[in-house]
Parts: sequence; structure tokens; C-alpha cells
Amino acid sequence: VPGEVRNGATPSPGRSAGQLRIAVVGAGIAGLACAVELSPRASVTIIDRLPTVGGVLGYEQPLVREFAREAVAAGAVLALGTTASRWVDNRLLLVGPDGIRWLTADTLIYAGGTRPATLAEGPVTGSRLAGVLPAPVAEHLLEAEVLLGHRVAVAGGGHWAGVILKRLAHQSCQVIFVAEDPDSARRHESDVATIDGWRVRSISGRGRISEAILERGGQRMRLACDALVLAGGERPLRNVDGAIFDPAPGVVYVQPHGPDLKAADVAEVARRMARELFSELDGAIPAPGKVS
Amino acid sequence: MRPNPRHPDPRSASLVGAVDVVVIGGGVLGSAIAWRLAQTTASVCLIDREDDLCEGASKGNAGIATTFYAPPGTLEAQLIAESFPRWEDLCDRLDVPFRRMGSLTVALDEAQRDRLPGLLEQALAAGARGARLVDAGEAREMEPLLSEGITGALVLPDEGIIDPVRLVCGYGELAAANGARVALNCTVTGVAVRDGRTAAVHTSRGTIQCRYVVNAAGMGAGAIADLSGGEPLSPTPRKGEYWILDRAWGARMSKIILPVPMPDTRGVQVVPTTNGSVLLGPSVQDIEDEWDTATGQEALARVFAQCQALVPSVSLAYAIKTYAANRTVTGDETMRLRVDETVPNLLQVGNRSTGMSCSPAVAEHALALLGEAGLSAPDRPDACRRLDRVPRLLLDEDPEHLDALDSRYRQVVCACEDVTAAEIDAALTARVPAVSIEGIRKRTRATGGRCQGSVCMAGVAFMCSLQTGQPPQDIRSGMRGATLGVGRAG
Repeated sequence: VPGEVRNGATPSPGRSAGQLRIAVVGAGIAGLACAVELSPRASVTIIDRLPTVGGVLGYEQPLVREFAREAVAAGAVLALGTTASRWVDNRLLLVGPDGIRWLTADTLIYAGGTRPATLAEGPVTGSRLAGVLPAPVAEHLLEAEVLLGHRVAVAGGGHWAGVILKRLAHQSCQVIFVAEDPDSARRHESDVATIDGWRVRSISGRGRISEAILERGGQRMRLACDALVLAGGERPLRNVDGAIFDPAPGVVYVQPHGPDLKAADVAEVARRMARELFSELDGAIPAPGKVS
Repeated sequence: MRPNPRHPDPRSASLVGAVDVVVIGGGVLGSAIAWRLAQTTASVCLIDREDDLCEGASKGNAGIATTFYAPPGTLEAQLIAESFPRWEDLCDRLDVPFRRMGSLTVALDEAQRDRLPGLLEQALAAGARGARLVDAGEAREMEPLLSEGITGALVLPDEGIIDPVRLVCGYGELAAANGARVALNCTVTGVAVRDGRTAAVHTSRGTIQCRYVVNAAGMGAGAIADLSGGEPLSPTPRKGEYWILDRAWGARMSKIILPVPMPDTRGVQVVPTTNGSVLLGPSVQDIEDEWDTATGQEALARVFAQCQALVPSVSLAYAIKTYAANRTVTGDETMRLRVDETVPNLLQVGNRSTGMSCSPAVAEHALALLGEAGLSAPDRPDACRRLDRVPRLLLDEDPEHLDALDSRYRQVVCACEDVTAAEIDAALTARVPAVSIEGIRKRTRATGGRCQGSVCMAGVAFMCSLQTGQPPQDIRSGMRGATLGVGRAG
């Protein structure tokens, strides 16, 4: 599975797996699937920034509701509306409605989902301009009925492009989909004007974006636009200090992603990784594909 | 809009009446001068054409509080030497992050190493305390990330890093606390001159009478000098491009890394920042358009290669942002701090590279020069000399106590930089409040981390919206009044 990353856990010596304390950051499909697998044998706390479970899929997703019910029934504790902020010496700093407190855990399962690439990661050069919005921001603004632009370019593919294109269809603006790869254009099957296989290389404008320079092979093309939604280059979202870079001590990263990955696939990967964590801790079966 | 009872809105209140001194330019030098004057009996008004402080060259400052930059004997060297011992105290009073971590000027070959003794001599003569030379081994002990290929280094132990934007905001905020009027979004349209002296400043927001004008307008200084009938100044922009690397990587750096300066350029530096990130840059390019802050592949690639020679483990896998900043160049005059040649109550102030590093001393000298020109301005014993500290979740060793301080610390808005609603509210309700996403970023770091606002920018916009009463689409998100959206759907 592309993007699947993990490393070993470091349980406290002398503890049996049944007494393990596990913090799961992220109550999206991946975090919940891990919790389902782990809760019957460990003390599990599920933490999410949002006040509800489901992450990008939302609470309406049937698999989300099923997993949440199952994990909680097996004893998992939810800490929602709570941000995990630092991971230091097997303690996780939680900031939320219950206050600011440290949670001791033997293992941190980091299932924080994904985000689109930033301009620097693109890399896209040019000025810092208004109208250039990461897809999750664009999504919130569209929900608040903000008109992003009169001629909006959506660059990327995968999950985020799908969400944004769908919402933009209800706005009275021109939309141009800059599909990073032709496959992602086919997947969306929308009637939106699509530019296939080009990437945004630079942006320009005065205050607000007025133009994106696209590139394919050695060719370049100008695209006039007054908004650009960054919806490509999906990568793991990491924002817990001490658990930013893989490997980090005591952290298992469960952030499978890829354009073809469905909710059920993510759940399956997550459950397998959770099972492998137990087998590792039990010392019974060496985990396949372990990163040393 | 929730009115701030303490102060008129700096962005909309009309300018009327009279003050002793009008300071034009809300960059580091103008704000520092306003800060200093506001502690005296003189009345002062600080004006900037942008809708926030620190929107010009000062915003792009890399944040090195230098101890040695200009040749000994120059005014600039004197101002740096007078300023650098003050940073601990001043930054504490202004609630500005500062760390005196020291710098290493690193030689990469024999020829560069041969130039180090000359640099040392100059540094000591310029007043850089504790400057000394070290061999490659000792330099690498001080900063293990340095290349194995280095040949020696000059240590400047008193160099430090400051949050340069917070410093300008701190100067402005304490000036306002002491009664300075701050007028943003305020373009100077004319200067009334009577008997060869400036008498009033006409602006887009009204006319204010004054006895003295301080021209600290950076790229706008030429226009202000013209309007005042002063000597001609022709500032031009010089662009510098930077990479910013993630603080999760930057945390491992322990020194500011500088190259041996070349005759024509200071070279590319590896600069840790007070928020933990690392700056790689700058490139150098003289340009014509002061608004041109575009980065380019070639310059950024060159910058990166030069940094790699110093610190081989730098990697663009950790890049979170690129940006370009334009400094103000006025011919060979790197430091300008003097009364105008023809207008006796016009003070000309400007600096090319070390404005931040000079700023405390510039403020003192400006007060003295205005005094020589006839302004009587003794310090007021009742002046406020310290801003209330806003605790930061990210920097707090014992964060649990913040909970009791203010329940808004329970709400993390920017997860990359750990910025809470309490910190953002403090920025939104300051005397010179943030009103834009950029204003919030400058004061709190929110939206400035590794995800560049993917998670929090909408929330920050909605908080600005609630505070200012503007709908989200009208919240400013870029330079020159550009807004988040272009209207409302449906």
C-alpha cells in the first residue's frame, strides 16, 4: 500500500499486552479501526481534534459508526475536541475541553490522516498570494458560502480534488481542474474543464493570484485564474511534536493513503498494523515488513 | 465589531489635531522611534500605508541580532554595538522571543580560512565581545551539523536570534500603550511646509499638524522626502529569497551559521529562528518593482546548494515554505540617521540590512537628534515600560498551568505551531490588533507551520471575522488589500 509507514513500539518492560496503555491520535477510519483491534486487550484512548468521530469521511460513513460503537463497547475511551500536542517520554500532552493534561501511554498510534502538499512541497514557486488555498481550507470556506474566485483552478487529484470539485459545482464560478495525472481526471468523471497531466510550477499576481504557470514535460502553459485550490500531493498530516518524523520512539504511524484507497482498504491496513503491533509486543510472530 | 474601549481603531480613526512628531513608516526603525518617543513627554503619531505594522522590508528580516556587520568606526557599527547588549532586557519587556545562541562564520577552504584573522580583528574593533577563531574540530563540536570539509571558523558568541516581526509589533504596541497614535492603512498624500519646515502631514485619513517629521518609510522614503522638500533619496529594492525548513528539523541546530563574506555579498546563511524553524538564504538580486516578491527555481536551487556546503544534512524534504523579501538600498548609504540637509525638522532614517540589530540605538539617537533640533522631550516617570506577557502553549515547559489562566488555552487552533484561541484572541484585541490571517500569523505563528494553514486557516479566518465583523470573504489574506474570497455565493 503506498504511503503506509510504521515502526516498532517500545512497551514498558514487564508489562503484559493486556495492560498496555495505547493512545490513538485520530478518530478517522484508520484510528477507529486500530482501536477496534486493540481495545479488547489494551487500555485505549482515542483522541481527535474534532468534536466527533469520522475524520474526513464524517460521522455518516457506516463503517465509521460501526467501528466507533465496537471500540467503545470494548472499553476504548474517546477524547474528542482534543488536540494531542506533544509526545515526550511516553507522555502525550492533551489540550481540550477536559483541560490541559498529560496522558501516559506505552504506544502512540498516530492516525492523523492526510493533507495536500503545500506550495513549498510542490514545489510551486512565486509570490505569497491571496486566493491560493489548501483544499481543506477551501472546503470550509465553501461551506460558509464564500465565493473563492470567479475563475477557480483546482490542482491535484484524489480525495481532496473530488470534495472540492463537487462543492464548486454549486457555485457560480468557472472551474478548471488541473489533473496531476490523467487517471485522476478519469476518476472524477465530472463535466468540469480538465487539463490533463499538467502540474502547477509557479504562480503570480499582485496581491491576489492572477495566473498559474503549468508544466508538462518541457512544455509550459499559462492559466488565468483568481483562485487556486491546492488538492494534490497527498501526504501524512503530522503535528504532534516528538512524533513528526518516522521513526519516533514509541510511535506507530497508521496513515495509509493513495488515490485508489477506499475507506474499507484504509480500515483493513489499519487493523493489520494494529494486529502486528500485538504480535510484536507478544514476541510471538515477527511482523512482516518491519522497519528496523 | 467588538469595540476596543482603550484605543481608537488604528485602521479607520481619522487623523486630526496636532502632535509633536509624526513618524512615517511602521517598520522596525519607525516603530522603534515611536516606542522611544512615546516614553517621553512628546506626543507622537506613527503612520503606515499598509494595514499592519511590519509589512515592508522588516517583515523579511531573518532575525539575526548581529554583533558585527559593518566596518569598525562607522555609525552602523556603533549603533549595532550599542544595541546588542540590550536584547535580553528589551525582548523581555516587549514579550519578544530572543535567544543569544552565537554564530559561526565558517571557512570552507584555505583561502577563506586565511581571511578569518582579518575578520576577527575587525569584529573586535567593532565591539563584538568574545569574538575568537576556532579550528575546524572545535567549530564542529560547537555545531556538529557543520560539514567535515570546513577549515575553521570565527565565533561571535553574542549574536542572537529574535522574532523580528514580534519585535516591530512589540515596539508599536508599547508605543500605543504610552499614548502614541498609530494610523495604519494611511497613505501620506502631502506634507505642508512653512518657512522651509514641515508643519503638517496630509494623509488619506486626514491632516495632522506636527513640529517634526521622521521619514522612516523604507521604500517610500524617496516620495516622503520629495513631498517634504527634502534632499532627494532614491531607494531601490534588493530581493532575497529564502527556504524555511521545519522546526522539527531545525531544533537540532545550536548556532547561526554564516559564510565568510565575499567582497560583493554577505553570502547565504543557515539561520535558526526563535520558533525553531531554519531559514536558508538569502539570494541577492537588485530589482525594479518593490512589490515583486516572487521566488524562482534557480535562485532557490543556488541558495540550497550553498547551504548544503555548510550543513550537508539540510534537506528540502523538510521545506515548509519559500519566500522573497525585499530590502531597501539607497546607493552606498547603508545606514541613514540624520537631519535632512535642507529641512531642519525632518529626520531621515533608513537602513539596508541591519535595521533590526540597530533599532534600540537608532531610537535613542533619533530622540537625541530631535532634541538637538529643539524638541524638549524628557522621559515621563509614569511611562509604561513593559507589555503584558501572553504565554505561549508551544514554549511552555509546564503547560498544565495555562488551563487555570484562561480556558481559551484549551482550544488549539493551529496544531503545527500549537497556537491556542487564547493567543489568537490576544492578537485580535491588542492595541494594534491583528485583523487579517497574515496579521495573526505574524503575531502568533498560526498558519505558518509545516502544513501552511491546511488545518487551521479557515478557523483563523472565522476568528478574524467574528472579531472585526467582516464576513469571511472580506478578511485580508495577502498584500495590497487582497482578500480571502471574492464575494458570497448564492
